[in-house]
Formats: sequence, C-alpha cells, structure tokens
Amino acid sequence: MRRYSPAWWAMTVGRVILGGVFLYAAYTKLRTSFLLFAMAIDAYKVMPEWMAVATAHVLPWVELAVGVALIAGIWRRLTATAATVLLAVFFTAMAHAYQPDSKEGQISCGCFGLGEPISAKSLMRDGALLALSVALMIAAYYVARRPRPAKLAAMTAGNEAAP
Amino acid sequence: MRFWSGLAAFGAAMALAATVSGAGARQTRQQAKPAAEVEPGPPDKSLGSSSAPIVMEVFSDYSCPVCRSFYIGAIRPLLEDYVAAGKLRIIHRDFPLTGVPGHEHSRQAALYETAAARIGKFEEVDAALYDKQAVWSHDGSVDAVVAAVLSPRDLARVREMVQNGKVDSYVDSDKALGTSKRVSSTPTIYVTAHGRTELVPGNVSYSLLRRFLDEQLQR
Repeated sequence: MRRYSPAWWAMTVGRVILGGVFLYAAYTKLRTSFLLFAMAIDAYKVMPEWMAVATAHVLPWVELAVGVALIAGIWRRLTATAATVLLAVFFTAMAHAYQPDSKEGQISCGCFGLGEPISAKSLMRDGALLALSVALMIAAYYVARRPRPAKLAAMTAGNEAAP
Repeated sequence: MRFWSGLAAFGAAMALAATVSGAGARQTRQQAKPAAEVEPGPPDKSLGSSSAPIVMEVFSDYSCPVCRSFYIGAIRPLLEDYVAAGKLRIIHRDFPLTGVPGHEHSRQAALYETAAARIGKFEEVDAALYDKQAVWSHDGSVDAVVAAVLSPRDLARVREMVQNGKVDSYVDSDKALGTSKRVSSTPTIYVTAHGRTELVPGNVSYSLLRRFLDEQLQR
C-alpha cells in the first residue's frame, strides 16, 4: 500500500478512530473502582464471579494497550486481530443479553462505564466497530503479504542481473 | 338560710356541671382531632441513619421481579449488615412502569407504600409488597396485602390518603426524578459515597456489592 494513497489514509483514519474508542473505553473503566466493572460483567451471567473479577482487573489494561498500539500503528496485524476478537466477544455477549422492549433488569452494556443499557443503538455501534476492525485486520494481513518496495526492487535487480 | 344554702348548692352544682361538660367537650374535641388529624408530613422512604457515610438510592417498581430479587437478595442482608450498623442509608424511589404489561397495579402499590411512609410505616409495607408480589401483582389485591401489616387505624389513614389523591404528587415527583437521572429500567441503583455517585447494576450479586461497599467505607 503506497503511503498517502486513499487506501492508506482510510486505514490510518480507521485505526485512529478504533484506537480512540478503545482508549476511551479503558479510561471510563480505570477511573472508577474495578468492582463496578466486575459487577457489570457479572450481570451478564456468562462466567463465574471470580472470573468476572479477574476480567475486570485485566480487560481495561488490554483495551488501553490495544488503543495505544492502534493509534501508534505498531504490530498492526496483532492489534487489529486483538481488537476484532475483543469486539466480537463484546458483540456476542451483548446480543445474547439484549432484551428488546424490556423495562426490568436491563443489563448495562458496560462498554463505557455503567450508564448505558444494552439497546439496538449500542448493538449497532458495536457492530459498526467490529466491521471496521475486521476491515483493518484484513488490510493489515493483505499489506503484510505483499512484498515491500525495497524487497521488490532487490528482487527486480536480481532478476535483471541473472542473465 | 335554707334558701341561701340551697342556692349555693345549686350554684356549685351548676359550676361543676359546666366544668365537667367543658372538659368533656375538650376531650371529645381532642379525641376527634386524630380523625381530622394533623396532616402527616412528606413520606420518609429511607432506611438507616441520615449521617451514614454511604447512601444507596434505589429506583424500583413493586411489580418488577428483578426488583424483588434485589430486595430479597441484597437489601435485606444490607439492612442487617450495613444499615443497622449506621454505615448505609437506603432510599427507596418509586418508578412504577405504568403502561408496561404486567405492571397494571404498580402505581397503586406505590401509592399505598407512599401513604404508609407518610405515617412512618414504610418498612412494613415495603416488605409486605415485595413478599406478596406474586399475589397482588396478579390479582390487584394491594389493599389486602397492606391491611395484613397495618393496624385498622393506620390502614384507614393510608386508604384515606390514597383515595383522596394525597400521595400522587410524591410518586410523580419520584418518577420525574428518575426520568431526570435517565432511569430507563428497574431496579436502577445509585450509590453515593465521598461525594461521588456511581451507578450499580440492578442484578448485582450480594458478595460483589458488599466488596464494593467495603471498599467505599475504607477510602
């Protein structure tokens, strides 16, 4: 992918947006007691309580690391894959817990703190982020498989020198 | 002489009669007063000391099964472990889900509970409504459930307030407060400690809630 080409710009902007979302998500969790996030995870009732507590300890830091790496543009395949896996897990859990039209015991999505119940809007937002993450991951693997310009030049030079 | 002594005796008898009848009338007025009664003050729907370091505000609907679970599984143990020790104050806020199927009697329950709170009987009625939720939310027998835990005199006062619309405004103001705090489902729980308010999930486990409260107390 050539630098400053439209595809390069699209990937860069996508990475910064996704990285910013991850950073914000980490910030909203790290600024309060980890127990609040543990309660939000526990409310999904998809894992034992001790695991919810452990996840609440670790996940915000993972989100922070993924956010920083995405914005910095380092380890692109790894970070895009990590973001995709995280978003796919979040999306599946939210879709599983979503109770349309229910006014009782709505589960907080826990995406950015605790104020937001799972709704069609939060599912659509998470779905859009997941789609962006998948696109970034595909692009990152595609770019990595293509020979780099320097390598290409060397190969071309080698071919020319061969006869 | 006999005339004068007779007149004096008659006068004394009249004076005594007047005193007795006056006292009797006063007594009757005093007895009649509670019926007309001094208007009870605003409802106190809180449990625990007002100087408790942590305040938990619970927006709840009496027909909501998750609210009942929270009451049975969290509020009852909290009353014993934290409220009795003066560490926590729990404030009940009515958020009847009017118009939602299965919640046809929620507002009536909220009205009875608010009226009971105005005469200092909140805790008893609150517990009875949650304990018998399956009964009254199905057949609407809120009055009978409340009658089982109040004295006839208290029940009459509660009924009078409910029937004359003397508690509607309190329920409406609770609901308006919830709406202003963006409450969209029940139970919605806010915990305030050290001047900071946090939203806590409604279906939280008691052990995690305990850990959170202990953490707040240790700060």
